[in-house]
This record gives sequence, structure tokens and C-alpha cells, in this order.
Amino acid sequence: MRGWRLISALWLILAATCSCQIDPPLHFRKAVDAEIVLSTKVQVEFMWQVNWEAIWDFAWVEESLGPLSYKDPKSMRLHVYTQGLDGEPISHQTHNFMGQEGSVRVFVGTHNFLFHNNDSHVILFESEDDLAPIQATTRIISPGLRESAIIQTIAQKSKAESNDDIYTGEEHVAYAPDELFSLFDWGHVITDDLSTYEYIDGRYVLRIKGELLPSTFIYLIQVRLHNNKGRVVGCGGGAAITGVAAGVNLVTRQTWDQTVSIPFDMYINKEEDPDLLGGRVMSFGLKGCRNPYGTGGNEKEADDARHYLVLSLSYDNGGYKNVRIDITDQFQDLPTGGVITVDLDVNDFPPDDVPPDSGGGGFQALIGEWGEQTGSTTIIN
Amino acid sequence: MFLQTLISAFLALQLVFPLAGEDSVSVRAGVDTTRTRTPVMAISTNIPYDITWIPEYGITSIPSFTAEFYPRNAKHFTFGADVEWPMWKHWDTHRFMQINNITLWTRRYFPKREDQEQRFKGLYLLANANVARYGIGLNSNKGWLGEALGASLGIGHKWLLGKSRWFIDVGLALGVEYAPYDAFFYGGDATGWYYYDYIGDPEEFQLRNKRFFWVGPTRVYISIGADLFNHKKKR
Repeated sequence: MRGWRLISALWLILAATCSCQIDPPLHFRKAVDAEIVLSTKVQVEFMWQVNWEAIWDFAWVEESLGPLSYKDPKSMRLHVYTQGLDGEPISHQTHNFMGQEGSVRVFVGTHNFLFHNNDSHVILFESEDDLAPIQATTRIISPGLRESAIIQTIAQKSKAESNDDIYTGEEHVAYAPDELFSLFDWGHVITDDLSTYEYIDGRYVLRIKGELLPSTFIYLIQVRLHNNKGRVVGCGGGAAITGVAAGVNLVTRQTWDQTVSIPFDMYINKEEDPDLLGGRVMSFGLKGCRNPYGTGGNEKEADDARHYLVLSLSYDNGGYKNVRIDITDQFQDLPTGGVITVDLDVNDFPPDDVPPDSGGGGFQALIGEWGEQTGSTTIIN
Repeated sequence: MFLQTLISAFLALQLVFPLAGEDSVSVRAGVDTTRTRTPVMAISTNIPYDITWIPEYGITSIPSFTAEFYPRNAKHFTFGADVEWPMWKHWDTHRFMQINNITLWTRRYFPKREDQEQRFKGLYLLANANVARYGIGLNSNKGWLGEALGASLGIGHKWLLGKSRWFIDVGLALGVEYAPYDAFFYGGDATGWYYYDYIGDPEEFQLRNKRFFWVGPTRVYISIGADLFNHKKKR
């Protein structure tokens, strides 16, 4: 009997300890209140050519012309995409916070984090649906405004007179974007295990390590005027750069295949150098560029656009002339921005005679009023 | 699993109520031989539980095992235990049917004759109490995990199938059931986790924060079983 009871007791112990677990184990799908901190500051200087200061000759006056380089973003937006089993997002939450850190409430699970600054005055953020990647672009200048826009006029005339097959499509003119920084952190696991957080000053901090990199790029463009002899006095009609990406996918960092022309101002600093035009334009960079920060040298593979610098030069006699310059090679070599230098011999496009009734070269804003007295378009390269 | 459960329950009951009994009932088994047959317990299984259908879950089995013990000196009362122990886990469809339920009960029979063999047959009243834990999931969005306590009173009837040791036992119990639980659902995210149906500060989370209270039928059974006898002796 004792043996029988012993066997029974052992069997009960075995049964009690084996195969009796009630499943599934449950977790808190709780909202983890975490201080999310971006550990990387924006290192704007390294985004350009390392020698940009050496090759940038224009005397840029920040007090009057504005900052030349990037500014630190003042506020951030965080998109939290919760991953499904297949890694695709199944939900999307958005959080805004000042600076580069803030408190957010996220669910336990695996998430993709997309950070970008939201202090832009120009950039539009859009997506096909709530789970689709965020795209950044800028507004197309309206047709009415385009009629009176200096740069659009220049670009259209350049296009009309061009035999370039590549540049025959309807390329819109869009506003130049301003600073846009983004960081996409894929597959970040949020747990309710507080040991996975940093404990700082009584708070549990989730530190996102990564590089908050610009998604819009600064191009510094300078035009060296040879044999000028005081004839070109400025670029009063403005300038434009053509064939740049119309937007960027902030998740993949791939720029759009659609291209636009971006208008900007060119200046001349007569006190420092009367034969040097300088300007600053920001854009999304090369079209179809998979990774502007790549090092493989194939960043420009998809960029089959021609990139022109369009200038409306002002002469000392009150006339002006439209000039289109092919800067494709230089532009494609600078997927993250940099200094583009163009040399122009003013003897190749001297000022036209100003008609006596032109009123001294006053600018006619509407394209229909330009007529032939606007001079010619000169194509360099 | 079910076999293990069956054996476990059987052995557990033996620890408390050993099969070997000294008193016996004499019957004529032959011309020169007298044998004793002492029914000491009965085992049975509840057919509607063994093959059942649950809304939103489908056809399944809740393996059930019942043991009834016949005290050797009792004339009307028996006691026993029911065990239901399904442990079905369908992770691919997020369906779970896991119930560990143990019910202890006693029955009061109303035998027509003071016959040792017939004293625990026929009509009876019963009282029982049960304790259970469970993890039930019907689909990815409906799941409950918790424990339960209950008590009920019922009525039943046991029929012997001819002269054999087999019987059919039918009964119904009404009572109360108290079941604290947590609802859960499948997250559908990359972790593959199941989550409490709770959003908030985990430090403020109270386990089994939901309650289920039931008054009504707690048990219905149509069981088939057999009496087990003491070992045979010759006199």
C-alpha cells in the first residue's frame, strides 16, 4: 500500500508540474510613457563637401541675406508605426514635441519610428493613407502666380527655345523647401521591462540612436563673371535650378522621380567682388536618388534629368538677358548639396541695345508683355 | 494529456479512499463457490462534454472524468469528483480551450431496497462545489483567462444497464459561479504577443480586474460509466 501511494503521489507531482500551463502568456499592451530622446545632434557642416568653405568665394552677408547653413530644428514630429507580423505597419500614431526630445506614449511591441522636424513653413507632408510612408514636398506655384513669376518666365522661355529632348516635359515650378531633417528607425522593440530604459533623473528614457540627417540639401551657387567690366550689375530677374526632385520619401529617403524647377535669388556684392554672383537654394536633390548619403558612387544612377541654372542677368544699361547653363555634372556629383561654381564670359552674351521706349529697362512682369525686347536666352555648355 | 489527467485523478482519489475494503457482499457465483462483489467506486465520462460544440469556437472536446465513491458503511450518501481538463491550444488560429476544473460533490440516493448492490442507483440529489482555472480564446480578438469558483445543487438519476456493471448517469445542477478574469487579444504585431485588454499604467493594473457572475445551470451531464469492484475473494 505504501508503494502504491508513493507512486500515486509522484504521478500527481509530475502531472502538476508538467503540461499544465494555461496559455497564452499575456503582456501589457500598455502605453509606455517614455522619454524619447534623439541622441544625435544635427551635424550640418559634414553634410557638405569638406572643402566647401575653401571653394565658396562669395561674400555672403548673413545679416541681410539670411543664414547660409542649416539651422537646428526647433520642434519635431514623431510618427510611430506599429509593425505587424510581416513587418508591415498596422497602426500609426503621431506625436509632436519641442526640441529633439519629448514624452510620448507608445504601446508595447515592435515599432518603426520616423522623426522629422515640423517647423518648416513651406514643406507639405502627405501620405497615401495612414500607414503609407510620409512624403515631403512643396507646393507648386499656382498658374496665376506663374504668369507673373520671374523665374517661371525664364524657365519657360528656356524650355521653349531648347532643343533638348530631355527637357521637354511639363516641369512645374515649386517653392523651394526649407530645412528638413529626418530619421527613420526600423524595428525598435518597446517592452514593459524597465531595465531596457535608461533611468535619468527619475525618468525612464528611451534613447533613439541615429543620425538626424537633412532631407533637403543646400546648394551654394556662385557664378564667376569674366570680362565683365561692370556690364552685369546683378541678377535682378532671379534664378532657378531645374530638374530637381519634387519631393522625398522620408522612410526610404528616396527622392521622387517627378522633377520641378526651384526659383531662388542670386546676389552680387559690389563691395567685395563685383564680378561674382552668389546664391543659395535648397532642394530635395537628385531625382530618384535611393540614398543621398550613399558612398557607392551610384547615387545619381536614376537621375536622368538635365539640370540647368537659369539666370536673368541685369546689365548696367538697364537691359537684361536670360541665360541657361547646364550644371548637370556638378549637380549630380553633389547628392547632399554643396558648392556649384560656374564661369561665364560676359563677352559671350553682351547686353543688347535697350529700345528707347523701354523706359530704361523696367521689368515687365507678365510673360505676354515681354515680347522680343527681353533679349535672348543664351545656353552655355 | 487526457490519459495523464485520467490516471492522475484516479490515483488521487485512491490516496484518500483506498480501494481495498474489508467488508463485502456475498453472492452466489457457482455451485461450490461463493464470491464477494463489493462495488467501491464508479467512473464515468460526460458524453456532451467529450464531444461538444462551442459557439465561435467550433467542435471540440472537453475531456471529462468522474469518479464516485461508495462508502462501505453508507446507505444513502456517496461522494465524488469531476475533472474536466481540456488543454487545446491552436496558436495558428488563436483559439484556446484550456479548462482545469475540479468539482467535488456528494449525492444522496433514495434506494427502494436496502440492497447493497442497488443502494446507489436511481434518483438522487447532489450538492457540489468546484474550482477552475481557464484560458479560452475564440479568435484573435476574444479571449479570457482567469479562475472560477462555484457551488450548486442538482438532481440526477442513475440507471444500471441490465446486469452489467455499466450505467448511465443523467443529471442537472443549478447554482452560482464566480469567475474573475482578464480579457486578452492577439496583438497581431511582430512580437507575436497576446495582450491584456488594458491600456494604462501597468502599476495600476489589477490582475483579474473583470468579474463574471453566473446564476443558473452550472452542470448538465449524460454520463456513461462503470462500477469498479473490490477484489474478489473466495470463502
